[in-house]
Order: sequence, then C-alpha cells, then structure tokens
Amino acid sequence: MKRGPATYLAAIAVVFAILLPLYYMFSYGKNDSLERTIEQGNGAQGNSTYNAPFSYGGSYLESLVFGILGMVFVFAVFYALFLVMRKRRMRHE
Amino acid sequence: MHIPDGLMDPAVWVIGFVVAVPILFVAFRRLGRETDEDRMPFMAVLAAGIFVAQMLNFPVAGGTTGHLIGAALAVVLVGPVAAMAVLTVVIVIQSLFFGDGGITALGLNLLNMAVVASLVSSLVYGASKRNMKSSIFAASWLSVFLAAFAAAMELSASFLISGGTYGITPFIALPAMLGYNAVIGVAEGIITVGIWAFISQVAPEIAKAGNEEVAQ
Repeated sequence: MKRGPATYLAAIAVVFAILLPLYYMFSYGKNDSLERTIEQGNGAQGNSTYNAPFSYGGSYLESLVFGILGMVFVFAVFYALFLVMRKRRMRHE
Repeated sequence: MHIPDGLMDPAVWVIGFVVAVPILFVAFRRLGRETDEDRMPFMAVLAAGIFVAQMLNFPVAGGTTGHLIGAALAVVLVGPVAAMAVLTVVIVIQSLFFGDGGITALGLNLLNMAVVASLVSSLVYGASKRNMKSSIFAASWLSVFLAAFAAAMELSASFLISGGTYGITPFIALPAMLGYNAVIGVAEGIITVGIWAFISQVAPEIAKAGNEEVAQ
C-alpha cells in the first residue's frame, strides 16, 4: 500500500514530539553559534521593524503546537508552489 | 545560524538579496520545468521535516547550541535545485511567521543556508561517491562550515563598512563562527548520514532518484 504525504507528516510530528523534551532538557535558553559570536563581539542588537505573528513557544506544548503549525505551513506553501508549477507546465504543453 | 535584523550593515544585507534572489529565481524556474511531478509531494514533506528539525537545537561545546541546516540532506535526497527551493520555503516561513531570522537579513540567510550550503553539498557529494556515507558526511560538514564562513564574512564586512556600528570584528567573527560550526558540522554529518541510511533501507527508490538528480 502506497502511503500519502499525510502519513509521513504524521510520522515527522511523532518524531518531533519525542525529541522535543531533549531540546528542552539540553538546549532551551542557550545561545546558538551566531548568538554566542554576537555576545563575544558585543554586536549590535537592533530592533526589528517587523513582528512575526508566531514564535516557537516557551514550553513543550507551545513548541509542539507551533512546530506542527509551521510544518503544515511549509508543506502547504511548497505544495501550492507545486500546483502553480503544474498549471503553468500544462498551459505550455 | 539565522541572522537577526539590526546586526548587518544595510549595504551588506542589500547585497544578500541582490545575490540570493536571482540564483533562487533560476532554481525555482528549473524546478518548475525539469522536476518530475511525482517527486514534488516528497519534496514538500522534506521541507516540512527540515522545518521541525531546525527547531531542535542540540548542545555543542561550551554551552552553545546548534541545529541541522538540512541542505546536504536535501541535496542527497532531491538534488541541488530542489534543495535550494526546499530551504528557501523553510527559511522564508521561519522569518515571516516565526521571527526566526530577520526580514532585512532574509537575503543573507537565504544566501548562506539555501544557496551556499546547497551548492557546497552538491559539489562535494557529486565529486566523490566511492563511499556514500563518507561523501555525505563530508558534504554535510563542509556545507555547515562554509555557510558559517559566509556568515562570518558578512559580519566582518558589516563591521568594516560601518566602522564598528554593525557586525562583528573579523578577529572574533571568523574564529568563533568557524570554531562552533566545525563541531555543529560533525553533528550535521552524523544526522544526515543516519537519515539517508534509514531512507535507503525503507525507500531505496528515493535515495536513488536523489543520486540521479545530483549527477545531472
């Protein structure tokens, strides 16, 4: 039986839900390589003129919800691009 | 490795858009013309997977963390052109919807992670496939290291152009970024080889199709 994208997305969400506690145990609140470099070099931390509507959240549940939301966004945008490309391709043929 | 707003000199982030946008425009055009339609849903799933993988920072030396870029993984599974498209969608959504990476720095983030990392992965992986796992590991490590080098050069250029108002002095930016990312690259390599080995076992046709894309 051939599995559809929804099955794979569900599998990714499950793996994400399993690995997310490790992120909170070992990495949450710690700087990444660029942030650490900025800190060492006293780099400018300017204000952004744009405020994003979502964040990655500050708890397991929030991060899980926003992670899955982002995953669905990314999938939907890429799939929409695919549909546009297919339409253009069919028009040319 | 997502550059925030306010860190780079305007001349540098404008150059980021000027360089990245035409390359990615060509990549999307080629994707639309040449890519097998049957592979597109898998690419969308891969993009979604890379999005969540980039959320999961892992600890590296000295209390610093890093995350998967995913460019090498995308290159070995769907080829360099599709990899650039996959990373572009991920990075744009991170920036616009989640505030991960600045709007003004979007061009630089696309240049470093979607363009540089994908092209480096493709060149390294395409050049040597005698031992697949070693090639993938080398492609992954170098993609992270050279993307970090690009970011360090951008930080340095911003510092020098602005007289220290923006960016970071090259004496700190280069050793810090390269040092941390040399370690992060090892983790990227291990994760990428692991995922590729798993996919090669459960869906060898996907790994084979990616191999053919890189060869073209």
